[in-house]
Amino acid sequence: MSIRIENLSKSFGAQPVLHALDLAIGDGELVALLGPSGSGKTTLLRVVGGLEQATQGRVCFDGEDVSGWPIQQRKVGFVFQHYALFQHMSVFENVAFGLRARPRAERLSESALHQRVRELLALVQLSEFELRHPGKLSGGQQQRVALARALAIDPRVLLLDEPFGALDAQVRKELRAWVRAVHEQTRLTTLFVTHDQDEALELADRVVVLRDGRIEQIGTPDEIYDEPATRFVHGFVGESSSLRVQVCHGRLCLGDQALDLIVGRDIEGEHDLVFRPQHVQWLEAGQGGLAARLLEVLRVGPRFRVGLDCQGQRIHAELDARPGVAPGALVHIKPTRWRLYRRESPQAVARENRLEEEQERPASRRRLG
Amino acid sequence: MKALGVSSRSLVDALPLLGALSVVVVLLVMPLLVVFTEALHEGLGEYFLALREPDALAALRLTLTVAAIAVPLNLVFGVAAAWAITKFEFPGRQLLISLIDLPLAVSPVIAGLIYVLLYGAHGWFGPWLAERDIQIIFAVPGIVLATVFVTFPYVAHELIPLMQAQGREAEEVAMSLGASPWRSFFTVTLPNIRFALLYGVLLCNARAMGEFGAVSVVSGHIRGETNTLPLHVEILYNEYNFVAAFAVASLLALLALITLALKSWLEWRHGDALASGSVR
Repeated sequence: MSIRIENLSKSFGAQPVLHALDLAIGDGELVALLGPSGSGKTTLLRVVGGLEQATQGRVCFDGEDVSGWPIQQRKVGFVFQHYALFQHMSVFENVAFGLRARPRAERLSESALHQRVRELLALVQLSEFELRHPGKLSGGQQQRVALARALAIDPRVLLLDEPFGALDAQVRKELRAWVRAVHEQTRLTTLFVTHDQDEALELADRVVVLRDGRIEQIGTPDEIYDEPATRFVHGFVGESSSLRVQVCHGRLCLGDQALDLIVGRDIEGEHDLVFRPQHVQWLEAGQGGLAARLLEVLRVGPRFRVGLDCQGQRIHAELDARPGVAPGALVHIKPTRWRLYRRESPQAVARENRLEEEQERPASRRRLG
Repeated sequence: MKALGVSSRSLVDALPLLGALSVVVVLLVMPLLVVFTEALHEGLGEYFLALREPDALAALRLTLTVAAIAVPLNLVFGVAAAWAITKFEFPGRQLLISLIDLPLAVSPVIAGLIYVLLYGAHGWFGPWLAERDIQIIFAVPGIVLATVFVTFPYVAHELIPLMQAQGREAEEVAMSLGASPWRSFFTVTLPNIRFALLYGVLLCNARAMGEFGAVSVVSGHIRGETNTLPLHVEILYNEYNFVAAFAVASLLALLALITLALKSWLEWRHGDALASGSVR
């Protein structure tokens, strides 16, 4: 089922939470709503599901306006961060709840109901737990019960609100892969809310980045990571370093040092140069570049993370090999892929020359752990 | 030296405990013992004779009737109020929370007087009621009203913190699965609060049966008609009929003991469900 959100606004009292959002989600897509807390991502999910009413605008399912529909009619499968299982019911009864709540005419016979619940429990690999109560299950198992319960009503869309937020790292990883597998199998249009960029990039077909109730960018994980549309996305998704620089006559300068990075003639004044730590090239002495003092070298998995001081501004870079010099030494660096942002302005005003990029090795994606 | 140090230390530790124990004995246990010894001191025969006396039986019947009306009413009011307060946002919500506490803040005698001033012969609605030959004050309806007022907070008070901790997610899930609000209430909300509800009802009942002040003002003390057990105890006592007074009082003491036992059982057996959200 496709979802279309048109000009959607939501306020709680005088407090606006969502500002005139437009968003189209295709049939069978797995979409992440990513943003910091307070960005409105959960509210957006709840409006789509019918748990909140929009102040303005429409939500359409398959082109049909469902804005006025009560939640019961929308047939959405909801999964919450803290599972919200019915504690006084067995796992079986939890999953059967939606089937038993159907209008009398559509209700399944008891044997058909048993068969359906058993299928779902097999899908979530919890067949042997059907008589247990939720309190006796681990967090990961409880979340799987919650998912089976949501799937039981043959939902038109699956809405997951921080589904892995309450789980520890190992379980979270397993469950992520497993949600992906369930999605492959069911092909249900799925929307999930997360503040974890790794989760969004790894799991989603497309990512919607939200900030302060507005959409900053919609794109595939590659687009979001490699082509951030705004400075916020650049900083929020993946790691980045930022240097405050001056532009004089189309050249970037840091203090009295000129960087051999060229931008358009029409740009002047103070800007921020933003780049990913892995897009920093080390130059031999005499090759120019930006002089920086090496502060520290940390081993991070297979790579090395170095802290640098550029005339009082701290940045970090990532390298494949341990640098040959000791902390305290002067080194020369050059960002290979970067964007230049005017202060207070979200869009980049300049970026690296695309020709330069062709020669560069494909950027390996690294994310925050 | 060392042994002395340890023992004097443990004596210091024991002092607060001894203090608390003596307070419990003097203020709680001894009065309870006095009730039963006084009630039984002329033998079991006299004791049961006092209880079988028609006015005593009438008082018992009235007390049970009043509780049988007031407790279910407050059960419904309490659940409805707690549900509205914890599951919805609406203007006047804070005011409602404060209003629920009002009966705890007001002296029961004042509560009784309010009803006399409203429904008594010279009260606001007095003439209107008199025309229609409806008697509220100095009759059973007044006693029920006063009791409902005084016992109103108990159920809601038990439920509000629990339901607040539980949040709305379970109901939201139930409704997303197609359940109507009623179905969601009976299959999800109610089971989640059942022990706290029982606890609240228990306290509400104990107070309903034991209430003296408010009921005393509105009852009119008509023997065999508008006397509840606590009022009957007072009358008997004022007539120097100590055996009968204590015999009737022992019924109330028994009620208290049963309530206490049930309460402890609930706390011991279902403490988790009473204290925190059982949704998580």
